Amino acid sequence: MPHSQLIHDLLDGELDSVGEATLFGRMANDSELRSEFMQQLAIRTAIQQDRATLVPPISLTSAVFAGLGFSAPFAGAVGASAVSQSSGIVSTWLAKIGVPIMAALAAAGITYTIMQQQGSAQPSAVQPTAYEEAETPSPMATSSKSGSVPADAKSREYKTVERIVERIVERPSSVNVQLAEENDQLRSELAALRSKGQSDREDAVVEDRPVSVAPVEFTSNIQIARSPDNRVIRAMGIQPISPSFSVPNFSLSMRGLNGQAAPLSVPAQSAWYQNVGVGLSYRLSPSTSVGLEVGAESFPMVFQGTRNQQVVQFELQPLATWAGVSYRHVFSEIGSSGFAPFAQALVGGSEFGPLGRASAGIIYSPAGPLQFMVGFEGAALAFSHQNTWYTSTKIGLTYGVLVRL
Amino acid sequence: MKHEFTEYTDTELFALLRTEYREKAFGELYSRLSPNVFAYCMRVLGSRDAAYDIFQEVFMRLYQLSDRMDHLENVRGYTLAICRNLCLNEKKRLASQNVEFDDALYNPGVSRESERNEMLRLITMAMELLPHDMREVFVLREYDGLSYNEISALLNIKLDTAKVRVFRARQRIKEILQPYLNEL
Repeated sequence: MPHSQLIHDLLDGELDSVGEATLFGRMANDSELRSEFMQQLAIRTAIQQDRATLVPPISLTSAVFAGLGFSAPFAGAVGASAVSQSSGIVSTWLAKIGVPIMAALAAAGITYTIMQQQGSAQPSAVQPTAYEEAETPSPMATSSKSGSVPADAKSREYKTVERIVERIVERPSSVNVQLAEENDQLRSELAALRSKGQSDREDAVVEDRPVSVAPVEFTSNIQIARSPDNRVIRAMGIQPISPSFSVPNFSLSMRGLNGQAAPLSVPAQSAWYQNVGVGLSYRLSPSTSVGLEVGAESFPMVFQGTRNQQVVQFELQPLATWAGVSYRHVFSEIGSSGFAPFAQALVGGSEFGPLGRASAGIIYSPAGPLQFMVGFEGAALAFSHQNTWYTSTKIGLTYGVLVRL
Repeated sequence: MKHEFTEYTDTELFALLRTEYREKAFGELYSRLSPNVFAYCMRVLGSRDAAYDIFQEVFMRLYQLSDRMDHLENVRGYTLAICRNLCLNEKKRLASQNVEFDDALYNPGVSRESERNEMLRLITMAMELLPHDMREVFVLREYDGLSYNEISALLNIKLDTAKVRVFRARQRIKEILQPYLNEL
């Protein structure tokens, strides 16, 4: 058997012990044979490196699975993404800058819509009504429906509260029932006055005009004053039972994720919706809330596996879509600045494995439904390959907008 | 039902292609077979575009095969046979079109390191200079890791013939690279 054949058999692992002894004996005395062995070994090593790189790209795997109506598996993500390589400046811009901006714009749009809706339902106190346009005495200085009337009220122009009462009656409560009865009574009195020829006061009667009712609780003791001649009535004020508006319990959040990790030689898989998290949280108390959040971002993965009886190290950065349950605690506001520190933790999973996130930063809460947050965040993704678990971690900034619904 | 699809044999996975688990079974088969098929297509064909087309076609046909067959003993061998036949047809077609060597074929994009590896470039160029029968057995042996028995069965040649072809291919590549190897 020629020496070269012995070398090939040895490198193939098919040379028996006798052949090995023969070959190594000859190599010990033959420099050319040693040189040939080294050359063949170099060729084998280079081929093994080449073989490790020959993995179908994600775009090709996706095409195969799409052609069969399947979704691409994790294995198909191994290797570089031809798509990401050819993505160009547009997708790069979208991935790094465009998406967070679009997220912020989307949040602003949602906020504007909500504010518009709320604006159409502002309380009557915001929109001056006819009775407010007239100078009214303080409710504290007035009496109830059956009480006395301040003296200066006698000389002023009085207007009815007919329409206001009518709108409040729309609220189905015992209070409103009572108000409806009073309203009927007032209508009767007004009709009686008109029938008696008191037309000189007709021009003081306010025409029907809609009055918006805000989501507030109204008291039953509407302050009503009567003129001394008992012909014209006047509303003196409405006191809310609830001192404040109801606090919204749900918040919608949209934030950018800028986590970084050690760079890999392979490019990261990208998509237009990456590096963004969208969440819906429920407020348990003024300082704590829980919620659900989903997002997508690429995670660097370095792991080892065996392929064709060889140990191969893989590097890839697939795009992971994740979802999880979050818990946020907002600490006391710093003075009255509107800034408050917060801490948040999320536990969830992705298509690759379980995921955890922890973040801390500052929330700014100006007047209105919007809140802005910025902070640091760390994320860890666990994944397995060939029954071995690995982790991928990232750390970086997070920033976003919260909208109280 | 086993917990992981990785626990199934190729034959069992092929049978599962006819069941509701077809997607996962196909995914597992793909993860096992795609490196071999891809390496064969890339190294035997002279065009990356052609290699990508053939690669897709191989797995389409493998899946469609499950409609007609519920049992396949040697899934890997059968898949490579499909791949080989398609590649042969493609090479004939490409030969008639006189397609030039596609340098990008050897830069699949997985590792930038390989692009800088002069040794690797020389080997892949040397493979281009091999006759088709030598290059094929070389790829099957070195890249796909097939045994000589598997190669002989796949190519329908004698075992000794397979061994001789592989040996000659290796020697031929070494001869082509000799000037470079002498400098090592």
